[in-house]
Amino acid sequence: MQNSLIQSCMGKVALIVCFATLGCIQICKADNFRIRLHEIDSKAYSAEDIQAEVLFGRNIAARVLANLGLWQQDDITHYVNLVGNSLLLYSSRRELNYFFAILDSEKVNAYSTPGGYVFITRGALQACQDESELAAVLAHEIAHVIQRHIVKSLNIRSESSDDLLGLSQMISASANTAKIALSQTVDKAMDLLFKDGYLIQQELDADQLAMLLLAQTGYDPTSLLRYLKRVDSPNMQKLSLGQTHPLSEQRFRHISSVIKQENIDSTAFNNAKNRFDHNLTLMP
Amino acid sequence: MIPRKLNLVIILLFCIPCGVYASSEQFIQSKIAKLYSTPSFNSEVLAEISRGKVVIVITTKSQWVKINYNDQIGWISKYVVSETSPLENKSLLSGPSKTDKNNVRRRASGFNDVAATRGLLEDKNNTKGKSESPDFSTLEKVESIKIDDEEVEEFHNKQSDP
Repeated sequence: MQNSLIQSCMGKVALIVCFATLGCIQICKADNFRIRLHEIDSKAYSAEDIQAEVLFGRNIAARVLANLGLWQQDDITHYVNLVGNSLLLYSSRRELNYFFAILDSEKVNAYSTPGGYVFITRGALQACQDESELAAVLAHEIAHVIQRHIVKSLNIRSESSDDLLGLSQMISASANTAKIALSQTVDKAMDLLFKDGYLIQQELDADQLAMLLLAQTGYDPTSLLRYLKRVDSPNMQKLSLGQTHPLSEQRFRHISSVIKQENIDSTAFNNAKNRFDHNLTLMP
Repeated sequence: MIPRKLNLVIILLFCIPCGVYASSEQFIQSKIAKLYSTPSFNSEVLAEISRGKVVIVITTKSQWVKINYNDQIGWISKYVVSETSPLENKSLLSGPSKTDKNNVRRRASGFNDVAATRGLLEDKNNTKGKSESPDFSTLEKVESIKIDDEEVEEFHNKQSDP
């Protein structure tokens, strides 16, 4: 009797040990995965990597400006910079210096390049109806920078690591080789910005981070959906620049799911419409 | 009776290390991180934590991380916290830098020095390709825009003004 009781208990103990061990393995696996992701996103990036990113981003930004031109309205540019910098109060990657500028184009679009260069077109600015929508456009572009979407797509690093392309390798080559290599990589980035667009998953990730950034800054996160739906309308689509932001149902659905998941009540946030209207009256 | 006790001991033995394993120290990455009472932006803001502060991560839930900061328990966005201390902005300009990966010190400015000698930093003709030539002089105008931190905070604080 006692033996069978001991056997029964030992069986339970063995079962518990098995489950507990499996649980620990799962936790370790999950944590290892988290560490691997974290290494990709943070640990593996040295100050030299950041410098490579800025150097590369400057080259792309200089080309964006060459293509579309700068809209030089100091007061409105200052206002856009204040909105952008407000969002940066709550964002990571403060090691970068961010710059916000308005491009002289009536087409509706916005761009960002590695290193913290954020551009909105004059047309996109005019399509905004309040400050929270302007913040949404900027937040989405800031999110591409924070999440290093171009850097990861083109493997821009200071040094080559495994299969990663190293900018140090480029600059340690002969001057001509270095220039050609950089030129080719910048061309790829320009294609990504103006022709091919980001991967849809990168757009969804940028939307999600943008909404969380908006919410923390106090702006209505639903403004992103409002703005995207407006510029997706047939009247506005003819003003859309290229295919860089596929305004698909997939994005709308994803944003709606984030609003639901985070239980976002838009009335609890600001749209700062009066301040936006006041500043945009300066627009010629 | 003995196996029951043994049962309890074994469960405890596995629970304790798992609990310890789940907690970790992490660093705030944003200039300000709001500590919410629940994992919701609609909940009460308990505190604002500044960049570089160390917090103890208790658990995660979707986009949220439950933390302990100075014995205050609350939730922050997962995007504002990381296992490594935030990189200093000045490290991009000059002086020594530390690579997290190899734990070796190198001159951060070395990269720029070499890049400059290769003509990759400011050479307006260095990226001739299928796109327009870069317009660095206009870019410098963009980079010359300086926004004062105090003005940003004042602007941010007046967001809800009618």
